[in-house]
Amino acid sequence: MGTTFEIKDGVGLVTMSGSLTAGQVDAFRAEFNEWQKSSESFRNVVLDCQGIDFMDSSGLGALIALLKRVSERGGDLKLARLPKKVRMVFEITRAYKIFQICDTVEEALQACK
Amino acid sequence: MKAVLQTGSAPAWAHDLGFETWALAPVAGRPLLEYWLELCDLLHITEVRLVLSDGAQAVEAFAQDGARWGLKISYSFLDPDEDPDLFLTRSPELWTGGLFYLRAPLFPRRLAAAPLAKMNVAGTHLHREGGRTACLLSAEPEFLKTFLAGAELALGAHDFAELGFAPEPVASLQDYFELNLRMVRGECARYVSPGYFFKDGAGIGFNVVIPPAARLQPPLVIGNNTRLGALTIIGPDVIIGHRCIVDQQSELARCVILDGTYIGRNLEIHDKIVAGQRLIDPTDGTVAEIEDPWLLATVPGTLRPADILRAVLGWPLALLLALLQCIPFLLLGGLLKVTGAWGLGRGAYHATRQRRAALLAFPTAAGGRLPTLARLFRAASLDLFPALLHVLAGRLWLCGQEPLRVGSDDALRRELKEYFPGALSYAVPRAEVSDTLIKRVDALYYAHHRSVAEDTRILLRALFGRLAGLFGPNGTEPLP
Repeated sequence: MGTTFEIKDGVGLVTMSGSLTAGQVDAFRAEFNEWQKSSESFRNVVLDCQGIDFMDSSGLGALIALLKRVSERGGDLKLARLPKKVRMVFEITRAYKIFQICDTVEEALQACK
Repeated sequence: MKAVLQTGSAPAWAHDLGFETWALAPVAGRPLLEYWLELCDLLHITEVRLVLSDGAQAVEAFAQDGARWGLKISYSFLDPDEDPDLFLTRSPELWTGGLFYLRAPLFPRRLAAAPLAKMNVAGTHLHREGGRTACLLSAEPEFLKTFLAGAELALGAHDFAELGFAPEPVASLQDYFELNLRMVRGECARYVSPGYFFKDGAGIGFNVVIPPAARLQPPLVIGNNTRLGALTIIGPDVIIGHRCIVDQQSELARCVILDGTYIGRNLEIHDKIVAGQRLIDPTDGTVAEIEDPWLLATVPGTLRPADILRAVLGWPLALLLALLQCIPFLLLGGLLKVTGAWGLGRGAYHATRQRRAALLAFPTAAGGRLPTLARLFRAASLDLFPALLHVLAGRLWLCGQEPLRVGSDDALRRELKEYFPGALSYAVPRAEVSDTLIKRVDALYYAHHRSVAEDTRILLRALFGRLAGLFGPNGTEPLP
C-alpha cells in the first residue's frame, strides 16, 4: 500500500493507493499518527481514496479509528473519490452514514474550510 | 417430438455469478434449466438431449436421468468454441419428427397468471435473437428439414406467445437481477405445481431457521437449510438461496443472494446480487471480491458421509504421523539449520474455509540438486510436519489437492469450485513445480475422482514414493 501525506490549503491531504486490509492497517495507522504528531498546522483531514483497489473490515476499522483521532483534535475527516468497489463496501457496512464522502478532492477541501 | 437444449458455456453475466454454464444460474431459487425441463413436460416431450460443454459435470449431476420431471434425459458434448447449431446437423434425421430447440440463454416466461396446463403442439413456433434462431418448436417435418439444412426460415412460424409463454433473453446481470425481482414480486406463482401456495408472497424452503426477533417482509423467497440471525430484516423483494446464513442485525431488501452465501453481522444489502464473497452491482456489472469472512463469505458445503469417514480416519492417522515425525523433524531440521543446508521456504497457502496455513516447501525442481541431508529430510517427508499439524487443527485434509499459494495461485483458487487442500497430494512425491497448468490438472482430477480409495492411493504413494525417489536426481519422482 502506498500513502503520501501533504498539507494543502491548511488541510491535511492523505493520498492512498493499493489495498487497505488487515496486513496494511497497522503500518498505515502508525504512519498517519507520526505525521499528525509532527505537524500541528492542520486539524481537518481529507483522504483521497481513488487509488484504493480493495478494502476489508480491518481497513474500514482503521478509517473509523482515524475519524475518532481526527475528531478528538477538533477536526473533521472527509473521504474523496471513492472507487466503485470500495463504495460498495461502504454501502453494505453502512459506513456511508459515518463518513462524509465527496466526489472530488477539491470539494472535500472546500468542505473543510 | 424431442427436445435439444444447449446448456452451452457461460456468458459474462453467468461467469460473474460464479457459474460455468448459464443453465445452472438460479432464478427464484431454482436453476434456469429446470424451467425448461418443466416446460418440456408441459409440451408432452419426454426425450430430452442436453448438449453440454463447460460445467458438464454440474449439469449432469443436477439433471441426472430426468426421472424427477418424468423425462428421459441423455447427454451429448460440444466444443464450447463450436457453433451450437452444428450439433443438430450431425444427425439431422433424429430431429425431423418434431423438435424443441433451445440455443441461447433464455427464460421461458409464462404469460398467464395461472400455472400453464399441458398442451399439444402443432405447427412451428420461433423466437429469434440477434437475427438467429434462439428457440424453436416445430412439429412440421418439411420445415425442420429446411431448418436443419442450415436455412434460417421464419416464414409461416408463429410466436410462442400463442402457447402461453415467451422466451425472454437473459443477456446481462441487469436482466438476471430484474428477472429474479419480477419472479419474487409475484410471477413465482405461475411456476409452482398445483398444491403449492404462494399467495402470501413468501416462499420459504425446508429446514429454515428464523428466530422470533427476525422480521420478514414479503415478497421474498428463502431456500432450504438457510439460517437467519436475530434482528435481521428480510425483504421486500429478496431471494435467498439454499444453505445461506444471514447474521444478526443485517437488513436485506431488493437483492438476490445465491446459494451458500454468508452475510456478515449488521450489514445492509440493497439492490445487489451476492454470490458467496462476490458483491455485484447489477446496474453496471461491477463485481467486488470481498475476501473478508467478517463481511461476506462462502458457506462450505454440507459434510457428506465420506467426508465424515475421512475426518474420523484421517485425524488419528495425522496424529500418528505427526508424533512419529516430531523428534526426527526437530533433530534433522536443527542439523540442516546448523549446517546451512536448510533450503526450505515458508509460505502462506489457502486452507479450508477461507483460512490460511503456513507450510514449508522445497525449492522448485529448477533450484538445483539438494544436499544429502536435505534429501534424507525429504525422503522421510519431514517437510510435511507443519502440514500434519494443520490437519490436526482442521485447516487441511490429510489427503487432497495440493495447497495453493496465497498470491501466485489466487486466480486458480478462484477458478476451482471444489477445493480440498491436503497435507498429502499428488504433488508430494514429485519435485515442486510452479506450473499452474499441472496444479490445475491435478486439482480437477482429484475433485472428479475424490473417494476414500483415491485418498488411500495418495497416502501410500506420497509416503513411499519419496522413499523410492531418494536415489533419484533430486530425491523426487520425475514429473508425469
